[in-house]
Amino acid sequence: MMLEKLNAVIRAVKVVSVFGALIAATSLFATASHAVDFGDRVVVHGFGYQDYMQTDSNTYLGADKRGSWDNNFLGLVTSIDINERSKLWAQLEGNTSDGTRFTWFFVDYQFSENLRGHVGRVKFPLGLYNETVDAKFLQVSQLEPSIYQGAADMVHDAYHGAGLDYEQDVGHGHILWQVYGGNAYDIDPPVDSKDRRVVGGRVTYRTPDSDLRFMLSGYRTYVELLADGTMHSEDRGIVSVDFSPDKFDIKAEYASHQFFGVTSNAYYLQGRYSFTEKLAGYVRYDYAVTDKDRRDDAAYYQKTVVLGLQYRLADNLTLRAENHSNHGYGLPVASGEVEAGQGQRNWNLTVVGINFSF
Amino acid sequence: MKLSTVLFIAITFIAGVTQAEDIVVIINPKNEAKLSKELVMSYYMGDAKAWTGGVPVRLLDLPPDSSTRAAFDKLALGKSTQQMKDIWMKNATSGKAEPPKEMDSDAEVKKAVASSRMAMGYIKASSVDDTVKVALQL
Repeated sequence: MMLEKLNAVIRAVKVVSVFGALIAATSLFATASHAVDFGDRVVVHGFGYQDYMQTDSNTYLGADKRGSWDNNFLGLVTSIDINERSKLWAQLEGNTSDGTRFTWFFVDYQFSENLRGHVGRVKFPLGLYNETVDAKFLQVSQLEPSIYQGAADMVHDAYHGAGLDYEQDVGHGHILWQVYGGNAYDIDPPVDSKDRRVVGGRVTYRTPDSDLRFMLSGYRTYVELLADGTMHSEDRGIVSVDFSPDKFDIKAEYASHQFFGVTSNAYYLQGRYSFTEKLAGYVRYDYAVTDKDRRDDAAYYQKTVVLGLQYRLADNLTLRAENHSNHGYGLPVASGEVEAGQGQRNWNLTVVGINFSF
Repeated sequence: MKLSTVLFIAITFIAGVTQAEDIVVIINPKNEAKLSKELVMSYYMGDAKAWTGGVPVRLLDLPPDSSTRAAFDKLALGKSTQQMKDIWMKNATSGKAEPPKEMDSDAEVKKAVASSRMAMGYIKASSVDDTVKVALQL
């Protein structure tokens, strides 16, 4: 009993000290607008955000009528040259909900001019945002499209395994082929099932001027139900379009997830216009249904109109304020914060956030 | 023609001339690579990462407030310097590629290129000397 308590205290001290170290590191580096370069072999980048969220009825992402400061994130990405062709990459993150952990870490190797491989815990190459979903500084809105919100269950964070990237310059643009395999990594794995295997890929095409990108990504996981040991396949896929000429940034994605006879879908159309170098406005229509067979029940779908403004305080510091006008409360039900039949059909979520990077 | 019109045309012409200083992409004289504008764009977007044979390219950049960098970003990449910084932050935070190493001046870019077969940079055409090879004129 004493030993358990002692271990718990040690764990708590470790979390607090690492998180403290992250904050100290950020304070130290925040004055620099560039990465911190420790000689020629080690480079550290960092980014983070702090949100204030408030809803007028349904609780979601920990926010309710009284508001919440619990959505925050601090990440440090380090790359270390191992040799001429190989690097170690790692991201250490800290946030209020999950404490401190390595989000991903992998070693890559450049086999040839076009072919690169990586092995370790690797972010799933999925859609437009999955690899950079934590770096809100780089996104259009403060709260990401529903496809990337955990409650929609459309994406995993990372996989443990190996992958290959093949870059191909074609006369009229550039294509990136990516394939990977391993096990899906889940910070909060379900208690009744276990991911045994994952295989997937993504193909990305961009035009020569890089203003237009198309992506097709998907993966299959083989899931074991622990109760009876049976294996079941689970499929996820995303189709993406990104058009970003000059002052415009237009994105659209459609995602689908199928498991055990249940199909869920989500899609969005989003546009941003930069009025000046500092000020931009954005709008998004977002739709998610967590069970297609119950798509007429407000507890299983959510239609959202997002309106927001971004102000760039400095090169590496942005402020955003946005309102989510929701019809249906499928995501609060899926996240377990509201029970089906107990939520408000029409509700608002307001998010104000500050983002930084270095 | 009114005097104001003449002055306007003259100022526009002079501004155009001063902005149009040539920029060149340079590599080590021992590097046999052939570069096109599309390939330079792939490297500086973080898509292509290696020379033929798989040896990584070491990209060099100038400071964000450099007019040569602004011109290179616009001419070679079709982006603003801020857009390029965002693209590289995206590459770095996703573990795709590290941003080009920032050098303080054309002279430093030349020195780095002259001393490494892996390096690629850009400078004003007027800064070129025989320690580096011009691989592409923009």
